[in-house]
Amino acid sequence: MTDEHRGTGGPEGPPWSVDLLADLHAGVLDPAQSARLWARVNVDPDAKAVIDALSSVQATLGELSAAPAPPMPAHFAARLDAALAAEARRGGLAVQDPPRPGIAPVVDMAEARRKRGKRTAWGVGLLTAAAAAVAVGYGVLPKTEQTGGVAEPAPSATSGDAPLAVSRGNVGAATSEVTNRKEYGPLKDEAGLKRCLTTNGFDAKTSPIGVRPVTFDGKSAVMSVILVPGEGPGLVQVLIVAPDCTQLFNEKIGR
Amino acid sequence: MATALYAVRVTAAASSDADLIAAHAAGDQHAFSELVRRHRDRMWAVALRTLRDPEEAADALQEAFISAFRAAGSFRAESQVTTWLHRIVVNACLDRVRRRQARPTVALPEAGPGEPVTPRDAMAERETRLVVQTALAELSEEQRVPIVLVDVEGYSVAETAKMLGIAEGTVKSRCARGRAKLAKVLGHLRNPDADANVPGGAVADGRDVPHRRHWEGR
Repeated sequence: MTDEHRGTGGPEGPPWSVDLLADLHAGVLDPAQSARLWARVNVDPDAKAVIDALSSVQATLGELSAAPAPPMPAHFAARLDAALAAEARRGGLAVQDPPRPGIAPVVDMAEARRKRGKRTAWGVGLLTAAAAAVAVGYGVLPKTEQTGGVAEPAPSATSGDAPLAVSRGNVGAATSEVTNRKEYGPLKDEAGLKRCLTTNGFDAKTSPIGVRPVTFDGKSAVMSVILVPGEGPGLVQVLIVAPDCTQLFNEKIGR
Repeated sequence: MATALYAVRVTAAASSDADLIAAHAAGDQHAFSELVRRHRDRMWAVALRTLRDPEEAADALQEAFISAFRAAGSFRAESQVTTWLHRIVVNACLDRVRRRQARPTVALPEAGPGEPVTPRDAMAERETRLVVQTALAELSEEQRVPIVLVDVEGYSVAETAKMLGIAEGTVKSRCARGRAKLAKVLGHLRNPDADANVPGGAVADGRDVPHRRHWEGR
């Protein structure tokens, strides 16, 4: 029962190859070979034990789906709630692009952000052709582990979007257009954003839920939206800075 | 006013999932949140089993729920909401698996899904289930994903083959190899003898070779 005897290349009898028996058990083998082997396996206690073990594994795996699920970690749940709250404000229920029957198409988040940007202007105000500003949203909860760069959707850069026009009167409304963005603008990248956040008194572990160039009261800026610990997604911290990271706005905003 | 009253009614705890979907499609602001509250943890478990990496699972779940949010109007009452939602989550996860395959040089951390969020001593208490989850996480992606879909989530081999874009025989073969490894790791075999090196070892799986490079993400 060694590795070199595995699979169809192994002997059809004692000592049995576990992989050959696993193939038999899974229905991989052709009908003639399968019938021949089952006849032998059924009268061989050692082979039967392996088959029983494989069935036991299957049964154990089957029980996983019905087992009580551990809760989604709070910081992930908060991020999900915030994203859905933002989607609700955008009125994201599809009335066009009917999906395949019974199955919703999976939204590629980067693509969704691009499409979203094209219908942004009406919601937040006029765009100025003047300089770009950047709006940034962050979850302040620290991430518990590295992603290794695997999970993150590619930053959508500016995706051709014009900068969002934000004024003191519409900061709350603008937060939904910043959440889930990773468009660093003059801050260049995640590291630049972190530096700017730290400069403005935020903890180094502050983790953005979105960042985006904006114009703030007509001037270039970057807006950040930050989840407030212990609060739901309805209350966020918004930081808006000039391209040189000078603070222009830093308040908690209800959404 | 009628809409408001309806909203109050359908978001009550006793409402069915289908009622919540209908209410959401009708504009109820709270119905979808209730649906998420009910199913989030179970769908989180599905995403975590499939993708292994918590950060990536969280992103996939977010994509899935946003997809469901937008597509709720297309939901057909003859389907189970959980089945519909489950499929959306699985599709979101598989999209990420495919994207991961397009970036073959990126390695995943070796830790299982329970480890970042579950303390070691808690694992001891919930023994079998978590041991199985950990063993599952140690399988290569090409074996783990079909096993999760077929043995854990209950999709047929044919459905799984279609979802993964591979032959049914390949699904069966990968499941067979994965189960054999799990049987050894979990101690179900009475005499694993020379196969003790299985968890980290290569598998002589000649039948799979033509497909393997498409799965090489780790």
